[in-house]
Amino acid sequence: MDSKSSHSSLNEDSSTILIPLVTETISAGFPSPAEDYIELGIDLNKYLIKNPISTFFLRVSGSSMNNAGIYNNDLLIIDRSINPKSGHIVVALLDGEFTLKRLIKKQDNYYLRADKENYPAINIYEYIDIQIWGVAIYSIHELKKTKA
Amino acid sequence: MSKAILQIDGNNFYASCEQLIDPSIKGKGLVVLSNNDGCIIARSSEARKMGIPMGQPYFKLKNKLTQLNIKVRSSNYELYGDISNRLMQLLRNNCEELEIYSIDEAFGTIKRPKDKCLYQWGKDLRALVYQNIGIPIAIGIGETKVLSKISNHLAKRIQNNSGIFDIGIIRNKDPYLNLIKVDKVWGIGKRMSIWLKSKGVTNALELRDMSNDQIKEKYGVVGLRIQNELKGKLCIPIKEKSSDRKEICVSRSLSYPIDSLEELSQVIIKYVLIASAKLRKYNQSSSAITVFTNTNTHSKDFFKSEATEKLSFPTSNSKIMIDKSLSLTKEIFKPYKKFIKAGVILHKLQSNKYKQNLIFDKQDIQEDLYLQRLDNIIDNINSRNGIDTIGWGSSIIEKEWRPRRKKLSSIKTTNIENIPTIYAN
Repeated sequence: MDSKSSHSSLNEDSSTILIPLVTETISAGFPSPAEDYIELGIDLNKYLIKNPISTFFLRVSGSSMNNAGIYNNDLLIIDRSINPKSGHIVVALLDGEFTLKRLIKKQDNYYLRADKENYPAINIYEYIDIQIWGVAIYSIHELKKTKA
Repeated sequence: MSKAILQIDGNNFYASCEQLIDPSIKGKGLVVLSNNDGCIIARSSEARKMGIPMGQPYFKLKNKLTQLNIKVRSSNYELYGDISNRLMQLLRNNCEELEIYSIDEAFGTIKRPKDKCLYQWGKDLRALVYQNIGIPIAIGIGETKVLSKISNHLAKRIQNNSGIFDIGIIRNKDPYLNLIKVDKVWGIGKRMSIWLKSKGVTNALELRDMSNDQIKEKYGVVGLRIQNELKGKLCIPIKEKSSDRKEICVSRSLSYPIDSLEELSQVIIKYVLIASAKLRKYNQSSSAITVFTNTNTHSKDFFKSEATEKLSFPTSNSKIMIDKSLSLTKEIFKPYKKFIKAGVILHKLQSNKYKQNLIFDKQDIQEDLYLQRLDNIIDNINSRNGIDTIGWGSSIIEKEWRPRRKKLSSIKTTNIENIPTIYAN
């Protein structure tokens, strides 16, 4: 084992899975020129995680953000290095709890809004104890089979 | 341009990590307990303000903590390690040199534009760390390591919690050094501070101004260096590579007293495995091993014993060390004693880069290589699937004596099964 990689979970260690991307069609009979390019691969870590130092994962529970494409039990990727702006889906700290909402700016006021009807928007300025914990950048949703 | 030395540490680091991932305890009284839930090893600033002391046994304060509604957590080292790695990487990206000093502490360097205060630079770094990683840090800035450490104390004490102090631009440092008690000066141990106090030296200013003959006579170059650093002369360089550790010690309190040789051996082997895996991680070898154990320090018939033996050649191999430690455990064991603590120390560590193989005979090398491969396989499996997935038969430990972590927050940032949940209801 590479002795350097084992002590940091942030290093690109053996957990990185590279999926080879080959664009050439492979012809039978003689060696494929594509083999020379096999080291080009898609690393999902690189694609989904821009800034490992500030990236955290959270598990979603609940359905209030379904309209934003975030479902119960999804794996949420949060990047704290992003400055929250209007339109971002953010993890906010409200009364000692994580809550997932969309940050909206309306006439100089910032609101936190669930992507669901009949959910009142929260005016940030009415709360003393409120903090944006991070900006959600991806939600990983497991596709389940349904009965045909 | 001159070089400024930085000393950076996480405020109430363990407590801050817990509060980062569990918002229900953010801004509240919180203490973190040591292994086995024995003592209080970290306090949130709120708990500190409520007068909860450091290092006290948990059972003594249990009632008080409940009364004050202070939350209690077992130490969650997986989490602290992950946050520490993030912190150090971010610091490394923002400093010129970085020496990681402990899990929550580092020394660094940065260029100082002529006579310019680095307060704003520190403020930006502090904000960057808080935004990216979510923990507060304090930054001390000075001309030397000793002064930057003093600066860090001052950052926490007099700068209204802004967390930054730059003593490097202050011409007359006397009033500030006057505030720092001599035993708080970096590098001054307990014994040295007692000696200094007997000479009438009580604070950093008096230490800087005492006769250097006196300090040299008693403490040689080591004492002189600290004094010179206080004067602003850089004597202790930043060490970027921390791999030159000299020994590894693994010791724990046992969750219940042990009085049989068999059980003590199993505990020792367990610690040998932890220590040797660490050794391999840092690509080092050890050439001597010590095992030690003791009964309750407060009991009338307090008993402790230790034994050391050289290894026939430097190694990091678990099997060789298990064999050696088994015979050493027989030496330290005494019947009818109830042991409550045990440990293992690996000494005379050296980097494998400089290992000389040629002087050993071929048979040994062959076996060593075989055992190395075996170790690699075990380390790989354990690093992928979690500590203790695979081990040595002789180390099979009953669950009961694993360290007690009753108050452990199950939340971690390093395991997909244990990540925090966010409610979107």
